Amino acid sequence: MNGWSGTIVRVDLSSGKITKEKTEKYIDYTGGIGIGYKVVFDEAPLAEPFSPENRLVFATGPLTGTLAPSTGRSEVIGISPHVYAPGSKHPLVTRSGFGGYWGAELKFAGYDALIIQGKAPKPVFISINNDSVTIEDAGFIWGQDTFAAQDALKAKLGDEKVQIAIIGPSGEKLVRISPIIHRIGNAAGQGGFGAVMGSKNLKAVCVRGTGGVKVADKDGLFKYVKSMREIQPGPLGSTPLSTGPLSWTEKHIDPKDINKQALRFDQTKSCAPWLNEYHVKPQSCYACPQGCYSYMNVPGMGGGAVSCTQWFYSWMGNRDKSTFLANQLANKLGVDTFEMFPMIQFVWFLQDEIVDGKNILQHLRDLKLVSAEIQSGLEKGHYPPKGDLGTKGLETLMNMIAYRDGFLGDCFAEGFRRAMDLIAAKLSAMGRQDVAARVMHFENMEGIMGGVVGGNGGWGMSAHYDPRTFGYYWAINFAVENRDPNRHSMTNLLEWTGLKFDQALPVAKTIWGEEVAENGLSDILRERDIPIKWNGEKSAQAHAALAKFIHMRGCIKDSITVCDWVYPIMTSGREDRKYTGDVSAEYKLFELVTGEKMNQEKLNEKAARIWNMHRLITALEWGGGKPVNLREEHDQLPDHFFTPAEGRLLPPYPPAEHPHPPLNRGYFELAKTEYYNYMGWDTETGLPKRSSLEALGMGDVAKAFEAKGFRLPA
Amino acid sequence: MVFILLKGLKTGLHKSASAKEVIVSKKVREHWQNLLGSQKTESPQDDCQVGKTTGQGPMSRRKMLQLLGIQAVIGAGVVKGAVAAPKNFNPKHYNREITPDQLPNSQAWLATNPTLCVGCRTCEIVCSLSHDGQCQPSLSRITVQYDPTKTLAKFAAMADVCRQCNMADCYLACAYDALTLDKATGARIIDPEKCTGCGECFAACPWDKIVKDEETGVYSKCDLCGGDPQCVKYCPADALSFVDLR
Repeated sequence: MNGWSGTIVRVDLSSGKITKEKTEKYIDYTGGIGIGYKVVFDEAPLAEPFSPENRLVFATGPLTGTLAPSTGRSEVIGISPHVYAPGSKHPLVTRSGFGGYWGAELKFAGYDALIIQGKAPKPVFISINNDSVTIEDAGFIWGQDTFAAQDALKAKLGDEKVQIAIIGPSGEKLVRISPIIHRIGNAAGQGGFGAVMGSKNLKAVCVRGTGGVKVADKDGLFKYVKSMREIQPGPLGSTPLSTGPLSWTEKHIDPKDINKQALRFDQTKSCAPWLNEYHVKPQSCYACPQGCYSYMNVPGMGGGAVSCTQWFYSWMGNRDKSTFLANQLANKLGVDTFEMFPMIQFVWFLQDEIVDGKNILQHLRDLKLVSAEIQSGLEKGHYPPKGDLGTKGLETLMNMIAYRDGFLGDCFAEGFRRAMDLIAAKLSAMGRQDVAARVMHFENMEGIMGGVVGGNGGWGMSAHYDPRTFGYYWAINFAVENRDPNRHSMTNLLEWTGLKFDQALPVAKTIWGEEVAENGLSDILRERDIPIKWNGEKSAQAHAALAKFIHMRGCIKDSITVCDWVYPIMTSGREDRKYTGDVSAEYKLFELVTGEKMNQEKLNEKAARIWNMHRLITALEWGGGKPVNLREEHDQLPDHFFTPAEGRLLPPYPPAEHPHPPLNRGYFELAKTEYYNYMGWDTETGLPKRSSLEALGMGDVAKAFEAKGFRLPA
Repeated sequence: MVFILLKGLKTGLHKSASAKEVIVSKKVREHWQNLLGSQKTESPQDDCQVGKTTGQGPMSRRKMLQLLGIQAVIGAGVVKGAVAAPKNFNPKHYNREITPDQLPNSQAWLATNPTLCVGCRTCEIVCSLSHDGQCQPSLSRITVQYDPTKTLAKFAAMADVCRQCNMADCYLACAYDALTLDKATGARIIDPEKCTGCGECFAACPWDKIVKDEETGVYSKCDLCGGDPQCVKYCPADALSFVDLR
């Protein structure tokens, strides 16, 4: 086969049985999350996250390992311990993913995916070396941090090129916000899949392969990749020093444009410029020209790779080397950096809210729910002038989470949303309902940087981007996903490109046409008192169309697999192209690699299968097999998006702008109706219609669903 | 100091080589110079078969390096670092019956800049795709170092390339004439038709830049793509450059 390697390996950790099966069985679902969702649907849709039955799927796509740019992704799929859905009868399925070299190495070893099930009797790691797949004892690295353990594994296997996906102490302790770490900074962060590995007694998956990936049209691929280089917007760096263009941008973009349109955003302001002297150089994942993370080496803190939200401590306001330490601790211990935005704010909140003349943290101390040592550590981590927002507070917080230290550490290890419930419940049980009620007030928290990151988007996760700023399409995205719906499809046009709204709008028109662009997009840089523009029916349709675009492109990206941060390539740094990129890159690359004649419509159809599969699993989980109304029960947003902000819940530190005016619930429902129509879903229940599934060639799946659950709308 | 040392070596070298061998080697040299078109010879020789090995050969590069190494330790610290202990050193590898200085230099090289390398391995993919028809870094003649053991913290991410050595150990080691010089660039290349897979070139290369295709059993090395190296063309970070002195 071209693109795919053709084989999937399955490891049953309970029985020790290792089997291989053909990828063909899953080919209708392309790869990546498509394979993952199909496996979960077929085998264990109602499993508990930490039960041996839960499937943990690592999957790549046909493009992984090839020359196609930015394709070094691996997807991780399973029932998630991190997703918080109290309305659901069963925990929900979701996805995560990571870059680096692991996915490509898996392809070189000869596998498209790895399915893990069962639970090992003692700590183990899986070692894949071409044809040989074995389960090995991991006693010698159990308890070690991810960096030390990776070095130890490489030494033991005697091969420095072995690629490792590993968990830190947090995963072993089933911390729900523990990522799977690869190398020194690639992480499958959200979803808590590190804890799923821990629940299976699986410390690491080591992969080494020496085979290759075949491509259908070698010359065509070379030619097309070269042409992409000539139009891409430029390095998408999240590093202080990658603000300078990589050479290929320089060659094709007028220098006067480089620092305006070619770069996504000015990193020198947001990514700890005071650490520039420790910056080694920008780094890329496999086959990626973007160099979006930076290698840093800070004396006394070791070396590490930092990208995007791994700078979280500086985004929260820190201005010293602790910013780097935060990244190191998160990656070594295994703590999701993105969860740290609400978590740190939650810790501040506990100290700022006064009930009966005492702050909540002091109440917890007086009830002997937190030790004096941890209390003083957390107080030190308060923003100035109360604390110093430095090393001590950070270390206290990270360690208490990773090692579940004390009652409070145990709560935080469940993620900020579950922690709120647990702390409130404990306080209530101890007769302090008044304090408990104040704790729950944190639900209305806002994200920092004007809602760019870290707000409460539902699903118990810190969320990307504020729908009050972006629009109803982003609200739909929050509602129908099972996790922080982070997709960079739209931000590639509006948020991170450096294009002004009046430059981006003509680009949008070339992608979706005049009607959708005009009625669906709001200027995200508009004044904070201006709501999203609404033009009746036309806006409902436009927002629904954009939401569908996000989901189709999302499923394409995670199944073929290409990087979410890079694709679709909507803009270019080139003025002579009027800043338009090339949104056809995904299907063109797919065709060149696999040899299957492709166009956007056909690729969207493949994506629709995956998205419907995700929907069906969610429907099964939500009702436990009983009929459900996903529209009313699942597809909702936290209330704070619909009610005017009373004023900032948190003090204005770090400096943050006020959120835009609240969403209108009526408009939200109108846009949802149109979205269901576009997806072929029943507008009353939000369930996929049987006829729509059959049209996608999923008749067998519809049948299987009805056998497991209930009758779908016709 | 170093100069004197080398001068002394050269004298020794000439002494140890027999007159006949020098003549044969001269022919080899002329042959290559002819092919490369870099210098016209007065008496063109089309047939330049290398004669059978006759007892004591010319001083090999290895021996010379060894000698130099020993003396350098005694004499001058400056050259110490330049002399690596040869891997799998075996004088029998050197059977092409020429003195190293008679092998025409390559006229083009790849050069890398580790401070710019982003570790994306595009060069590896491009190399294997253009030469072997599939994306298979294990066959790539250019290799990227990323995450070596014990040095996770040191970030040694950088591309490593064939040096196209002037006195190419791989060339000297091949007993089957599979190693030849590229007509366009002078790059030392392996003829897959003649390669028997004996592995002598692999053993001789001090840079670990000879690659074995496990499927065909044949070795290969960087051929500078005949003067248009693809890795340089596709490197997104300008970490690779092509030094072309033709």
